[in-house]
Amino acid sequence: MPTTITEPAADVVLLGVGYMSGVIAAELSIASLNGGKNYKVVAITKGPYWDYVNDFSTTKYDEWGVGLGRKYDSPLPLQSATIRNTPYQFALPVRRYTMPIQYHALGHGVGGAAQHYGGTMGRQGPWGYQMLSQTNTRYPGTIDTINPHNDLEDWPLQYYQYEPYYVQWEQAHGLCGNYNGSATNSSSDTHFPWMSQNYPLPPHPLTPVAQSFQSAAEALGYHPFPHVSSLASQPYTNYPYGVPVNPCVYDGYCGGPCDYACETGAKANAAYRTIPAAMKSGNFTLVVNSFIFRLDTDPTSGLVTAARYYDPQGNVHIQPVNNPGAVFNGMWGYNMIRIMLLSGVGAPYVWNSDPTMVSGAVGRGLTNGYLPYKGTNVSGTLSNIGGNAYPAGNGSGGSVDIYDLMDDNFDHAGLGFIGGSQIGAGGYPGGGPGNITFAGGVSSGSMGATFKATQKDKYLQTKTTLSATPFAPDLPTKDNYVDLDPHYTDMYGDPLTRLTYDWTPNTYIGATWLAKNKVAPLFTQMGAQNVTVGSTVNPGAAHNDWWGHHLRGGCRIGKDPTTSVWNSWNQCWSPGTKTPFNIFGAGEITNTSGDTVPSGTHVAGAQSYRAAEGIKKYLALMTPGLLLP
Amino acid sequence: MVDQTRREFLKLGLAAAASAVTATAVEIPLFNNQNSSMQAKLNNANSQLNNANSQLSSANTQISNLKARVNTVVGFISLSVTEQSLLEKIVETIIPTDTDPGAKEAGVIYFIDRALAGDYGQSANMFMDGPHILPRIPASMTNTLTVNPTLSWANLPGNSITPIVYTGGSIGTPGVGAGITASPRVGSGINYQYPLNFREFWRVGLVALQAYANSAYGGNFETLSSTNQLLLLQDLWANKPTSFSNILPSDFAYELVFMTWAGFLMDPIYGGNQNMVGWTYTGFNGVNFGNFYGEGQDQKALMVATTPTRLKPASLAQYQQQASGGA
Amino acid sequence: MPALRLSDKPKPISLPQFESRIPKPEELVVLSKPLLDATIAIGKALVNCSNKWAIGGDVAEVISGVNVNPSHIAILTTSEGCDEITNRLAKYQVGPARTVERELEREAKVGLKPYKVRIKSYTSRLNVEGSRLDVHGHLQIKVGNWDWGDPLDFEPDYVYVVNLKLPIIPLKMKSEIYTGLGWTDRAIKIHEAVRRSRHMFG
Repeated sequence: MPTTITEPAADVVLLGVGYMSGVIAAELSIASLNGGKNYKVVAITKGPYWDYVNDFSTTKYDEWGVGLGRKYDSPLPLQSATIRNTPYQFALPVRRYTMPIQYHALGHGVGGAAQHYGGTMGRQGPWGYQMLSQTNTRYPGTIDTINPHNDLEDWPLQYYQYEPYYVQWEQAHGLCGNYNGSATNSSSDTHFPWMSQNYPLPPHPLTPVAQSFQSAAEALGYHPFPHVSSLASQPYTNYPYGVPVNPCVYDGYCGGPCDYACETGAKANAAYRTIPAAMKSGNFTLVVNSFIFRLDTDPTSGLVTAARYYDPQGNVHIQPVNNPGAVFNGMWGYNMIRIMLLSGVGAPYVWNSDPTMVSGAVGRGLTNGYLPYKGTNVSGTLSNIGGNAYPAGNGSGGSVDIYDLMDDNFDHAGLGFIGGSQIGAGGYPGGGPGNITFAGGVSSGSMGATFKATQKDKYLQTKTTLSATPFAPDLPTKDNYVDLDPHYTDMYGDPLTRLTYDWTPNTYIGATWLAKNKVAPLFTQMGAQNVTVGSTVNPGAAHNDWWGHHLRGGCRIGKDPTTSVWNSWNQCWSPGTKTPFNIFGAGEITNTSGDTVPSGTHVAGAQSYRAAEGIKKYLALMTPGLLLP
Repeated sequence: MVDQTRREFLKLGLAAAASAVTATAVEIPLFNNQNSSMQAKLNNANSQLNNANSQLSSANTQISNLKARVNTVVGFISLSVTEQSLLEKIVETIIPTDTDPGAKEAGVIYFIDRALAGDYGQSANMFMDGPHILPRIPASMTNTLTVNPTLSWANLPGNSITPIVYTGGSIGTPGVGAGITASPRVGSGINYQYPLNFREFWRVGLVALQAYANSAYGGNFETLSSTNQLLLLQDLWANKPTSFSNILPSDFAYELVFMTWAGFLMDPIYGGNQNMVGWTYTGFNGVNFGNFYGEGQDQKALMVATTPTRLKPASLAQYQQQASGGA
Repeated sequence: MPALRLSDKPKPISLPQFESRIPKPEELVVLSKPLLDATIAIGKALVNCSNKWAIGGDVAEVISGVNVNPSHIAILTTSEGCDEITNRLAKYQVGPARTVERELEREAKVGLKPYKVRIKSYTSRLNVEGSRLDVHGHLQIKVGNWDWGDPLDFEPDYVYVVNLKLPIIPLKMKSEIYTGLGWTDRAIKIHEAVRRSRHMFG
């Protein structure tokens, strides 16, 4: 007979134990980091505690079970999501994990999605934090044409204000790189993100293709730098937590389309960087295999008073939070939104066919931070470089990037789009045995003797096929949002998340222009033969893929409580009946504008340290309330 | 002339049926104790002998592969007898045996059989709740879709139990444009909306395929020419069959092709890619990072080399064996 | 307000549950903040040190993932190195550098027999931001009545801490020393850390 159990109250309650919650856990549990206070911190996750040797070391080299079956990730029978392009459609549930990934597998357990990602990192530049005002200044009167039903806003803080938090994130997680992607690396340079300190670990060894790209980029006047990776390149002890980190062993079963768990802990995530230090502090309690389904709120104050979860036996637990006390919403992506919508925390976004009549903020401003599956692709052949295309290296090392073709780093007058993308080449190949054959999915062309012959010695390449699919940022509009689905529920009977989303024209118009005018010449400069730009993306063709893949925004921080959920301290200021200002949140979903770099995680990471500081300030207030900017 | 199938070469001691000349040419290499009159015939049939020799070599390869396979995996736990013989031919059409092993030697049907018996067939890691609404329903203001909400959604503030009507439509044009349900790419996560688990899906799909083979090509799939076998599968991708057990033929074609390649390339622990023939063919290494068999290659050097190095593949089971043996 | 739960689905589906043993705090390897800050201060001061040096002791093990709890920091170097290092960290110096010989608390156990262990080095003691640092030049070990061992000499391994590349005594050498002294528990801890640092074979 299931029962209801009330747990002892905590000062800080963490929803989910992924990357963001890990930061809050360490920063609030360790007394020496919060002014000497012994806050009681409780963190709750729906999945297990993972030990990388016990759980992964003998089983990870398994594309079928790990890569395609997603056996270490969030099970779909537990919860899924529904997807549609426009508000007039019936949203269909995601029923299966597929290859190529169309719907991102959520993480499960301590470490969250970062247990199985590829480790790509990269700071967002100054322009990314002020996309609206910069565009209105340089290209006045264009944004509404470029982005119909525009909902783009500036972030509440600028790049230089996030810079110290970026450093904290990088040193805590052991990011690898050697930044010289800016000509000057000066704080007055608004084109490139400047760094007060270089990355704490050296980059991974560059591949021959990367070196070729590097030379070509330099010849064209660009500023190449090694791709930033969160997979430790050397033995490392992180700061300020003192957690030792094993280096990558380059076994190649890492990222790519399949995304594998790491058996040495080199792949940075909360489980191997922050949570061990929190656990050692004595102030931290970890609750696993427990599914949070509601937040209780006080009807008078509007504050969150407890989190409710189901344990594996189906009992209900109530985890109260003290007052003063804080709740941190560290759930991945749309789950952050979902728990708030189910619990009546914050003002839900309500769509209207008249864009001037929309209201609310929770679920508003959803964008996608990755390139469309059917983007405009540029390909070419390097006949002087071959090599094993088998699993080797890791998911985010070996390559070289440039920032010169992103943000407002080139003149956009008359082009019809804003921003650009980080362009790079030369990443280690890797994934699994089906990687090359499956990576593009299968089609009618994947049958018979002729196709079979193309796969012979496919992994023993005597030449390299270059491929790049540039993109420009996907911009927030009034019509892309998150809400609750009316027709499908999770295992416990609560409505699933519904994503209403279609790619915005900025993404593919920018992609086409960049492909033709900038990426193709780069490949040519590299000496590639048969440089081919794919046919222009038909807007209708792009919209059926990669939903939920790398969501950005949807629960954003901002300058205005009517259009954003969190203030500049990542503190909730969105009014429901009252304003629940004791809940904080950070993640890729709290990004304000469409991402300008592939790594929303890195951009969110800076926010997590900002949120940690905000929580500390909030808990020290004489009278709990909204923190001033 | 009946196609010489590979099976006929493996019937040791029996001559191939069709033409006397060819039969003579085949017999000679297989039976070394021929008399001198046969030798004379051989001398006059050089081109036929060359042909026979290459057929012999591939026959021998298949003999040893089959022998090896007989020592490893045999038997079915999920596919019915008719499904076994049908699927065998389908996978051999998708990845034929030529001068190199194909789906047959890799034991692809065993991979599929095990998968259908296990999590894949049970759709264990899938979201299987109703309602089941198909994709690609066109937008319409008159042919709308009405669906009841769930109780838990209806009870949230501001909602109600009233059934919801969907017309489809693009932004600004309700009822026109984007369909009532989306048009996903086949193989994507929202494309499969059937209430069937995958074991059932394959059951009805194989039945439908066989029915189509008979109605469009005049016989069971196994009896068709290899040309027609491939054509039939192309027909499925193109949704040519007008009746197909109430599933979309291209959805079934996707599963067939995907699972055939998975059966060729996934770790042998799952029943396919036997003796790692799929990995040998593609040049894949499995878990041999350069020194599994003592080759002394360095993975870190291989990952930045400009020319490939062929490594003998190693499997997950071998890896676990070596790991527990003490590294 | 308590949560409403109205379910159309009274029967939960059974999901695979992974065994999930949460480690106890004593099983986790973490270097304390004071020692971490001191190590960083030392590392910064010793950039471009012209003499060979490396972090030894328990700190070297912790930052390599070995589950021990250091109380202080030790550096191994040559006699000239001891002078240079002490000079570079002059503001932290507690006393002058001198040759010191002392007996260790823990005995060696060789062939089931206990032996006293003595170490000798040209050493200086410092206090770096509240943490004790011992710099050992020319460190030698003597077991029982046997001869003094050769001064410890090795090619260091490296561990990064923030942007500092810190030389440390190789774990392999430490493991050999522990095995030689019969301190098998310490050797086992090192093997456990090495096991966790890589997949089963390279």
